This record gives sequence, C-alpha cells and structure tokens, in this order.
Amino acid sequence: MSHPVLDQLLSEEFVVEVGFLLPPAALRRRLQRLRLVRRIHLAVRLGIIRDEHVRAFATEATRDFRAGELLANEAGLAALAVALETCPHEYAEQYLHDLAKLRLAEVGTAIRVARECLRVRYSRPRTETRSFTYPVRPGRDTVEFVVTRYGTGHTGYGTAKVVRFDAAGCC
Amino acid sequence: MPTLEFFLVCRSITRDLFTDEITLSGVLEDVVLEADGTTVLPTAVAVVAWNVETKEGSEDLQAVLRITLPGDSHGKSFPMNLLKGHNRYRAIFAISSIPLGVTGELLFEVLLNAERCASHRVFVHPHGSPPAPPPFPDETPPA
Repeated sequence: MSHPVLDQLLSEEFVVEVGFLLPPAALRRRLQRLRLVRRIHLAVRLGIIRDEHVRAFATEATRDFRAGELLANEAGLAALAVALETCPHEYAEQYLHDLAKLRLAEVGTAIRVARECLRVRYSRPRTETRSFTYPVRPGRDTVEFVVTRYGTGHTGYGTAKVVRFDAAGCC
Repeated sequence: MPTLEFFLVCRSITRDLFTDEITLSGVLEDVVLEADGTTVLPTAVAVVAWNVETKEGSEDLQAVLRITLPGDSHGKSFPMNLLKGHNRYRAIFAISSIPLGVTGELLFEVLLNAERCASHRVFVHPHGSPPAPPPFPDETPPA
C-alpha cells in the first residue's frame, strides 16, 4: 500500500500545480520547488516513506498505462524521482535506474527527468570512508589489559610493553 | 592527473547522508603530551578530495594516507581504493589510537597512485605547553 503523501502525487490538484511539462532540466527544478516534493523528500529522510511505499506507488501510478496514450501520472513519477534524487537508499537508486532505463514515449518526460536526476546524483563526489587502528609498535608501545579470573569474576588491571605484533593480535 | 581540491586532518567529522555535506571539527594543529611524556591521539580523521578529468576516470585510483610519528623516519601507510567511474572523489581516513611519545612534527601525507599530493603537519608539544589561553574577563579572579 502506498503512503498517503505519495498518493497526493497522483491527484489532479498536483498535476494542475505542476502545469505544463517543461524540458527535463527545467521540470526537475520546478518540481524541486514544490512543497509536496519537499515533504516527500523529508518523509523519506525521516524513514516515514520506505521501500514498500515507493514500490506500491510505482505500481499504482502505472496501473492505467495504455500503449500509445500519455500516462496521466507522469508528473507524479517524475516528482518522486526528484524527491529521491539525493537519497542514499538502495531503493532510491533502483527507482531512478528503473525509470531512467525505460524506452516508452508514454512516459517520456518522467524518464528524461529521472535521467537528469541520475546525472546530478553522479556528479556529486564519491565518498569512500575507511577506519583504521594505528598499529602498536613492538618494543615501544604499551597496552592496557584486564584479566578476569575464571569462575571467581575477580579482575585485575595492568599495562604491558608490546614485544611482538601479528595479525592475530599482540603479545 | 587528478587535481587535489583539499586535504585536512581533524579530530572528528560529521556527514549528512542526504545532502552529502561534511562538517569537519577540531582541525588538528597542536597536541600536548601528558605528564609522563606520552599520549594517545584518540582519533584523527583525514579528509581529502580530488577532481578527475572525465577521460581519466577509466581505472581505479589508489589513495594512501601516510602517517609519520615524531622521531620516526618511516611512516605507516593506510591504503584505500577509489572505484572508477566518478569525476569527483572524497576519501575519509579515520585513524584511531595514534601513540605519541616524542615532541616534534606529526606528519600526515596523502598519496594518489603513489604520488605525493599534500601534507598536513601537527606539532607535538611537551607537557605544559603551549600555554593555556587566557581566561575570559568575567572569569578573572579578583586581585
């Protein structure tokens, strides 16, 4: 089941608010400014709209698809693409790709908007993050340790100088 | 050749996953040893960004952060692979528990495909220096 906020993208009021279907780059910017699109982006960000809602929306929006006729919900599909453009979730990426790779004149504008969103998405820097622990230096660094006596629960603390370090740990 | 945008080492970083903005806090410039002449730097986060020409982006890039402790001649290297296909890259290295026991320069260097791109120096001071900042006027004890 789609989310009520997403369902508003399929309403006549929304289609009227969008107005004429502009070229993809201009339409993307127009859609970015719409309050409903910003609300959807926020709802995705807060986890209120999730994967299943997006899938249900896509099914609902394309229910009336007929070959040779422009899809009435094209603006809604494009608007969701814009709302998901910067979202890091896998389903957001999948929605954009699934829409962008279509070759259907009936949803041509939404497809081109999705491609524009992907272009912007990939123009952002790719961030790679890695964490490391600085390796201890044998003969120089000391480590703190805790010893617990089995069965009694008695613990002791101490420090020791590292004499050897290997992949299994230090000793 | 990829061009370096910036390189900075700080104590912590926050990244907004939705806007992809990063916020660096506590840029590392000075570290003071404790009374026993040693200290451990809990975390140092090195952030580096590159731009790559479109035609250059056909191979993975190898980024390396090299840390040389004061008094050491050879640094420790921390490698990272940057997958091809993008024109802009940001690498974030988070290094924890850096042991310091000598005053001098703690050197952070970043290399891309084995070529040195930039460095960031942190000064390690003996215990008690540099002097603490003066108190705020309303905290000054009465004479």
